[in-house]
Amino acid sequence: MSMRIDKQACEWIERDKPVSFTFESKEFIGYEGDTITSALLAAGEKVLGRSFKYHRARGVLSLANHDINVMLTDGEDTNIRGDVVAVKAGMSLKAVNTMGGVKKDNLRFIEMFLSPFLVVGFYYKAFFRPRFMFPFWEKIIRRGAGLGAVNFNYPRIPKPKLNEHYDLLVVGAGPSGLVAALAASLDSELKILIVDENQQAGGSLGYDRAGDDSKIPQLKELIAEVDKAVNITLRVNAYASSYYADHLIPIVEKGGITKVRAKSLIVATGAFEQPPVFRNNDLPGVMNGSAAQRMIYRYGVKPFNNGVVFTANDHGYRVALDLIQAGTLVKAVVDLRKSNSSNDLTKDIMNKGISVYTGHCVYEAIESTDKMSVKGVVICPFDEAANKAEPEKSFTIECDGIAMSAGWAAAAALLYQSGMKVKYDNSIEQFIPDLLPQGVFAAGKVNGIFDLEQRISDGARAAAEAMHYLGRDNIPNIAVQDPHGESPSHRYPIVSHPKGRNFVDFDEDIQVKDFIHAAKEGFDNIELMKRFTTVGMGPSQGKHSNMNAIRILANIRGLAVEKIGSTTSRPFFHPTPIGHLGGRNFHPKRQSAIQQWHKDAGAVFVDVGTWSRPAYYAKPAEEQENLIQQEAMSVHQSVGIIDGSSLGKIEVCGPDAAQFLELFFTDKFADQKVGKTRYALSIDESAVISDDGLVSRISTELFYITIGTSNAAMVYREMQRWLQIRQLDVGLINVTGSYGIINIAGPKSTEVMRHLTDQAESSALVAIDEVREMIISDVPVRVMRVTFVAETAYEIHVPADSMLSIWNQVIESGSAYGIRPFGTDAQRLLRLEMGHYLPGYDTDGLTTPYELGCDYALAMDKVFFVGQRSLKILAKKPLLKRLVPFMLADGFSSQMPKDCNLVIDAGEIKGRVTSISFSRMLNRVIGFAYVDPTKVDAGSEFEIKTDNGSMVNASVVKTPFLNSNKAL
Amino acid sequence: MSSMSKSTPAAYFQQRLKPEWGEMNGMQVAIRFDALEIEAARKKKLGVTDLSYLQRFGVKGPQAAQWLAAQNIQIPDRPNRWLLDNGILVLRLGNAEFLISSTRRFKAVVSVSIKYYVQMPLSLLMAVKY
Repeated sequence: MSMRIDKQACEWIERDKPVSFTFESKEFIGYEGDTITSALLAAGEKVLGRSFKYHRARGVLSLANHDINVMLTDGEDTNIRGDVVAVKAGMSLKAVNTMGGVKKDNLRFIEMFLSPFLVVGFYYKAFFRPRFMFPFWEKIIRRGAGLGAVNFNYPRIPKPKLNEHYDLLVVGAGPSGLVAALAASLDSELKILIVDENQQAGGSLGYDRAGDDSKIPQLKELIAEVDKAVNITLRVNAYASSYYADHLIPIVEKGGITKVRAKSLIVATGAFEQPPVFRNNDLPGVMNGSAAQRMIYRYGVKPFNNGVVFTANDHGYRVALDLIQAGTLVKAVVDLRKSNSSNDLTKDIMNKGISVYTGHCVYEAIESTDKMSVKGVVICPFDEAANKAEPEKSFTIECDGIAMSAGWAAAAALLYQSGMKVKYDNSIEQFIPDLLPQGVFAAGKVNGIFDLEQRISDGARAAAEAMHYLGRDNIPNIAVQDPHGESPSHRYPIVSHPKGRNFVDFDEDIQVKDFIHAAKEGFDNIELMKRFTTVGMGPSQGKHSNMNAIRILANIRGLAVEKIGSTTSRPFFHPTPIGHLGGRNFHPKRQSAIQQWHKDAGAVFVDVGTWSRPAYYAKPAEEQENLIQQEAMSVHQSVGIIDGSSLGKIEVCGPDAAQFLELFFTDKFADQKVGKTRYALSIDESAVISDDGLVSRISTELFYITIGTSNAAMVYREMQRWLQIRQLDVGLINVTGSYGIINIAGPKSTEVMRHLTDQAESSALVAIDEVREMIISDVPVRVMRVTFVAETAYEIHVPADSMLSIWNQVIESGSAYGIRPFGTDAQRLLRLEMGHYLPGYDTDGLTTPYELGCDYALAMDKVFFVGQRSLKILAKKPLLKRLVPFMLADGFSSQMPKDCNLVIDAGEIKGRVTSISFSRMLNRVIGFAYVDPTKVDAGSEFEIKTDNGSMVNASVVKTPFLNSNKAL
Repeated sequence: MSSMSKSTPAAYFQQRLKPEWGEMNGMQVAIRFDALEIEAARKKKLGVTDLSYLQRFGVKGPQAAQWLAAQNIQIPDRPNRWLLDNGILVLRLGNAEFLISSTRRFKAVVSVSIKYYVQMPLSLLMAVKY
């Protein structure tokens, strides 16, 4: 049955533009300007969604994205808000979180059979033990509860982030906001932006009419004036998502986010209508009064045919008049308040022959047999002082809908985030701003002003204050009268019912008894209660529930509402697609200056930190493992070459350079001789190993440091931080990209170096622990001896633009010895064979130097170094594990242990394998593992538990493995 | 030893476009990718060119501004500004950090940098090179 009514003044739909779409496989026709919900309502659909936990049938509550009763999927996108998303031709929609469709959702049986077990907190406590069963229960419950399913094939649509600057940002284009913008625009130099989340401006002026269109010309005029003002930009379908320091407000629109930096901010966001709480208040057909008004005037839809208005304020009477105007037969107005008969609106209603029951409540909505609509209401007297219904005096009225008006909660998210201090105003039963930060102003309902004329004045007042703040002179003071008359919000619109189903939070199916239950469990502080009951934690973020939750808690504890306080209001104001926040997927990979050479040589690349490095060099018909062993063997037997350009390179210079290094690293450097290199270990304040590297002293005041590839940026940042803390006379230069590194390793590397540098004597070249600057083919380079991958190895540090030229010369010089490039896989194996641990590989986020056994690098006699204090504390505690080199038995051939396999001793976990590999050179499996610290001597044995559960014996050996092999 | 010992980091990309190669400042440089008029037309809309061959160096430290002034190099008065003085491009990266380059190939910079380099040991020369 069509619920569409005659054309309304200023309606949003375009009746000459029909739009066809499907919902739950049934075809519907709406109009352009309709939201999905309004088009469905117009066609007489009532059940538009299923609730989160109990799968109860749901329809409209707020029609304003203050609830999530109507959430849909179109197959690609999910959790589409039907209430506010415009309907488009060809849409094919389904409600989320159903099994078998919204009308025959099989999960509705959860409510029938399981609901006694699903009170808040039950799930955690009941299913937690036995622990191994928890994943089983979790899976079942998660399948039942939930929102839409994530589409992992969702297309990546880049959404640019724009930046805009304004003198004044007005949030909310209702009467107060529009007037505020207009008033400020009189100063033609002010650049003003006004945003509103709705399709059109006007706010409640457009729909809160009390059956009377006399304010419509005023609305039209306001919007026309704003359009005319050249210095105002009005943006609709745009919501101010959050507030960040210095008035940075990201505005979210369908296409992306605009970061608006405003010199001043007026928040005129209005208020969320709060549903009164009574049994079955969530049935389709039961809705907020303002939702009914929006339905009528925006979309030309009659909310229901025979209705009852349940009110606890004057707004309900206005709603009743709007319903009558729309053709609804209003059977009764039920007013929770005892005394209200003198009111003009009440008289209006009574003059139309409608019964008004003051001091009464809707005790419950009676559900139809299919539980999908309202059949009637049970009404009974209500004792306001005791917050108690008197059901023994109840009577029933048949109807198919209920409009509810009980009060409001300020839409103050932005103000809270800006640092507002609030107070609770008892005369209007609402939290209002007490103290606002500089440059932030509030106007209208959010400021506690409800009367239309006063709201308009309040907009002008806020504008005047903003202009004054912006340094404008001669701005008149505008007085706004305090609100008067009846409070727009009721103190306690909560009707208890022994059978429950009186919902407070519709997102999470939370009922009054859940709060009582939470309080009994001891969660009687608002923040604790929020977490235990999850009230306000659903996608609506408490828009329709927080205020009632606070009132209920205040009542349970017998405290005033202001003593309870409010929960934190976090960004974003509405749930916002992650795609809006995502960047451009711009992750540049760093490459060596000779990346093309590697490609040409068949390199297979691997990501190491931000770098793309050759893992090994592929050859036709050769297995990767074999190639890695071959590459390593060439280093053992002759000479190999690896591009080490990705290593972090930092120059530390200045008079305090040595002092700085002594502070930053664990060892001493003041006594390091020019021309020498020294191992360096860095730990953080808690003595956890962060990285290690090599320090070369180039001159008295210049040190050149190489550090691990992955940690380079972090180490450099830490250095900068410590430099700032200590204010030393030191310059730091990150030269990582400026130099390439060529590592020539193996017994023949000295021959290659000699050929390269024309040095007659190899000993005159570079000795162990030495660094030397020299010229190779007119290129200034630094050469150092490093023993990371081989006993004899040279690192040549070359300016990046000369890297290719020098690399080619090395290859040429080494050709006589069969020089072979090797990648990071062989490098890992070689360093293991050499017995060198690798921070980040053999250490984790908790490893200390004691566990690594590198006490020799700790100069504890220094006055200070980063982490020294923690080391002193740790030294007094027993060591729990130690890293040791190990070997598996000769000829080992059973299940191969892997990295991270556990080390087990007498049934206890003692540690894990950190590196393990077969070495062709040794013809043995070798590795590093953490073991019991009392069993670290060479010859000690331990067991490794492999992936298939079998235990493998391993023996602790001495490093380097090459020597230990000889010893064995 | 070839005089062209240097290569730009973008060489791998330029090679694919098969440009006409030349030499600048010891570096192999793509002279052009297309006929002059085509490149000129391109440039009117949006073009990109590789200036890696330009000589450049950084000056950093509390005395950096004074030192540059002593070399008669004009410097921008605020960070994140640049100026072009007699063919020398001076970028002020921070209060005490400068990047110096030249738009007139390398002549102007060389005269400065030579003067600069001679006062310094090789190590420092490398240290300040970007």
